[in-house]
Amino acid sequence: MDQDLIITKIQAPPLRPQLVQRPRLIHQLDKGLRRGCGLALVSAPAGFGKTTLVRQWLHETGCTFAWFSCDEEDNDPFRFWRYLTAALQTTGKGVGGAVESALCSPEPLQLEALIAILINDITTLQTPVALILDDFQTVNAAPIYRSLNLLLDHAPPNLWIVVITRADPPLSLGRRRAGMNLVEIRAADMRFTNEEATRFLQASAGLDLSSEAIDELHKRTEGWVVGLQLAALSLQRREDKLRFVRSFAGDDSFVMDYLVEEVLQQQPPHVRDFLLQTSILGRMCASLCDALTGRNDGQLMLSSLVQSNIFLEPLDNCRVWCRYHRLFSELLRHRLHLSMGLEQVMFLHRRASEWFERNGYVSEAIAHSLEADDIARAADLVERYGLAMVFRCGAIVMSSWMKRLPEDIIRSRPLLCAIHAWGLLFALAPPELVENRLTDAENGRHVVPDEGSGDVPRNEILSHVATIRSYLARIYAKDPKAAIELSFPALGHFSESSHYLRSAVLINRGLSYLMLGNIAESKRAFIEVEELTQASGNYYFALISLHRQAYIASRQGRLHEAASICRKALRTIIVPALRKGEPVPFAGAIYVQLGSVLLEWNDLEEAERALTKGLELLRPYRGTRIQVEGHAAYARLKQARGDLAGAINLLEQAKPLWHGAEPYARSMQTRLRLLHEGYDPTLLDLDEVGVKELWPDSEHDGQAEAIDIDIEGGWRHAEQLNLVRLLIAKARASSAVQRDAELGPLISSLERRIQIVREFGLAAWTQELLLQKALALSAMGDFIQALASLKRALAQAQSGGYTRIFVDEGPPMARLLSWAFEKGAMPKYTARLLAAFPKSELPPEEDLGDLGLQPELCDPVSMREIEVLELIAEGLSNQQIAERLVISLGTVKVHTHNMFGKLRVHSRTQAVAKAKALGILSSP
Amino acid sequence: MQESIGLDRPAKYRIEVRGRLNESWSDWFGGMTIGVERTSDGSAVSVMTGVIHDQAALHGLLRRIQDLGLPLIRVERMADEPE
Repeated sequence: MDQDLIITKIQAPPLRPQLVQRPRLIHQLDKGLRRGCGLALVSAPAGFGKTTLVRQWLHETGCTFAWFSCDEEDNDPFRFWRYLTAALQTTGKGVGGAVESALCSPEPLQLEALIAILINDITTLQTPVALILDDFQTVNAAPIYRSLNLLLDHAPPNLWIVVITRADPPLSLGRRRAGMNLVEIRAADMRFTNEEATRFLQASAGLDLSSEAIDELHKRTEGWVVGLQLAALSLQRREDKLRFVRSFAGDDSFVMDYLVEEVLQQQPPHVRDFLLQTSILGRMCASLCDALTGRNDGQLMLSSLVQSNIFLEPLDNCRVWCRYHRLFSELLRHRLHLSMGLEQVMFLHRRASEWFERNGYVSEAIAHSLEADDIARAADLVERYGLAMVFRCGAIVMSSWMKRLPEDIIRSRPLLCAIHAWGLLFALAPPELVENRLTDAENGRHVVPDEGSGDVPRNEILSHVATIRSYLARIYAKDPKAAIELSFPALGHFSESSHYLRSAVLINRGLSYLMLGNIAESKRAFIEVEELTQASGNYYFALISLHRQAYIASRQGRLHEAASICRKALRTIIVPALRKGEPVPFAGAIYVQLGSVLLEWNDLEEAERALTKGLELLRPYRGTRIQVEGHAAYARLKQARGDLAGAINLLEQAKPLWHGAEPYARSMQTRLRLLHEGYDPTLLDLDEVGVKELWPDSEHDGQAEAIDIDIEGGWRHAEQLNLVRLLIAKARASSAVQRDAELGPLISSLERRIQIVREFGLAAWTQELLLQKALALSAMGDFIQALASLKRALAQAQSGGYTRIFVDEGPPMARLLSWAFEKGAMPKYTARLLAAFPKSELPPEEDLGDLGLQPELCDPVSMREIEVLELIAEGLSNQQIAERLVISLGTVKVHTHNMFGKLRVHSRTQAVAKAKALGILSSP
Repeated sequence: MQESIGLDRPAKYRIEVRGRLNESWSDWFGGMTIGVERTSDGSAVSVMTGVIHDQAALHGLLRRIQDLGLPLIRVERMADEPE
């Protein structure tokens, strides 16, 4: 659980013994919710016992519940949903885990997606879950009402939402009332009846009053619960009870005012002082009270006041934190201002602020220093803790602190401007806003040096500015060169120990190099980040670094390395964190990357497991590039299973999420249709397109300055490949003359592109292009050249274990491969590839018969089994293998068993020996 | 003379709540003058009058009234007095 969450907000107030039972109301609440009303509204002014009632109901009904006490700060939608999700997590039933991770990361989110996930999690529970929103009148932001209405409208029947409030919220109450979907308990219901008042007053320390007296009290307070409670308290200490009743009844001042005055008068002076001084606190504990009063009887005081059952409510079961009933604290605070001068009140706030800071509660420390009118101190606090907050994924929280500071104060402190700029960047604010703050940071000067804040060296400020500008350059201006240039001065002045900041600079640098196709530098940057994160323990940066390293490895054709990096990430970071229930943003990306490699190895079951898990973790990240990659991989998985219609459908369903990647989605669908239905002129609905449309950047003398190999670059590459496939298919369907005319230039274009891509070290892309070249040549009838290209591809692809790039090309590739096998080109690899094709796509039996495919290899050993075999050869036990590959021990045993069958051996030594003899394992 | 009501202009208001509030509450309610009147049946009504800075301040004031559980009877914008 995040330490920045105020735990008491999501704990139900402890159950307290009630002097008056209210079975009628509890029954009304219970019956309504069980009958299927999704929403219960408990709406009445302060002091009617709303919270107590709901708490009592929860106790009696015994259902699972989540409690969320709202306050004014929760008007930020992300903070609100973060607390709501955290509350749901306290049920311990695994609700909202993925959401919590997502809320911690700076990736763009949409609330609708989050809500859908919560709804899903709750639905799977099936047993009732009550969600209590207390003090809901403090929330009044329209986006929150909208999102709650969304939740209410789609809530499963086992979710019971109870809103406790002093003012009716705009949650379509009229509609729900009319549809009988609302349980309402209002002030009129909650007033004590005369009978209840009688019972209460009699039970309160055995007050023995006449029925006339009770009548008077009941009439004067109008059954207002808190009024009766205070009256009872006063009466307990009074000798002449009747006199009190008469003068109270005869007075017409505001009830609470009168009674509170009464009660305070009765307290000994030190108690009175305690009550007044601590009234400024939203919540309190013994140590904090002592800090305010300057005494050390805080614990004693709190214990005895809690006993009285009116003044203080405990907030947790350990009785560490409590708070005044809101109404009471308002009144106390009023009296505090009357009895003490403003100066003294502010002094109390200052003491409170210091205590909160000392004990690690920065938000409250800031709030109190603002109440103390000590803006300088509030600014100091933001300077001190703001950056750490942003990098711990609390950009929203930090922004809320910043909003409370006056603009001219922010401008006069360059570090504050820099921190604010970071927050804006992480919150994906418009770049102009970020740039404005950066200019402020550059121009700002310390107007008045304060005692609290040391002078921040100007160089450090400039480093912040350069780093943020480098992010803006890459993300918004799409100018990676500028981004890289900025990264050097940025690193210059950050001290060795600021790991977050150095990592941030390096990540941006690495991503910028990817946009330029510079693999070596990109890799170097990400490896440096990994080293830094080992010291700082920041998951987010570590996973980004590992994900990118795996990504780069796979672009280089090093699939084993890619898989091994992903597994390292799983083993060392993701799995332990998930087990501890900690949020792991970006974990989905690792699963997707691993799944893609497994898919390429044709290990469809494992690939499906990884991709499913990845997509599940990515659900809250609607429309991000990683999520698009996940869906694309899943579509290819369906394709590999032969479910072409399913793959097309999946892409169609996912399209609304593919904001900015629609051309990619369409391109994939077209390709699938080509495979499914064969060539059709309408697929190429670009009449005039010719070879000229392909790779415009490679037309400059066969040189390219840069190739974007980041994710979007990968999409462009895939789209181009699909276009090539269409052109080849089109050519096949044309006359012989036309075919040659079309394919000739296409092949030249491919060859030029291959040169370029090869120079950038992109083995994966080189292979794919070589295959297309081979297919184009064979379509033209030039089998010799086709074979030559194919052999180049095979030679390169073998070490990575590539399988699907061949199989996905269908029958034309099968024909080429069998021809290659016949000619003796890399027979073992070729034979294994052929065995991976569906039987229907292979050339007829009689052609294959001559090819002398070894019977042992007809049921070939899968890539996963080879991995296991390699580890066996290294001497690892099954348990060690299970840990290395992050799979279960049972799965390892299944693999070895299958493998023994395929190789027709009975022992590990035999298996290794035979595999080496067959060339499946390379001999040393 | 009715002036157009905006969100950001100060205006004079008269707010009535049930019960008797004494003058010491004036500060709590943003400096409004607090007087007491009697209804026909003898019950007390507190009347707050004064200039409120803008609509946000008005709603803040109303919220304070609600927080204290004071029954609200009337909120009336009064015509501006000549300077």
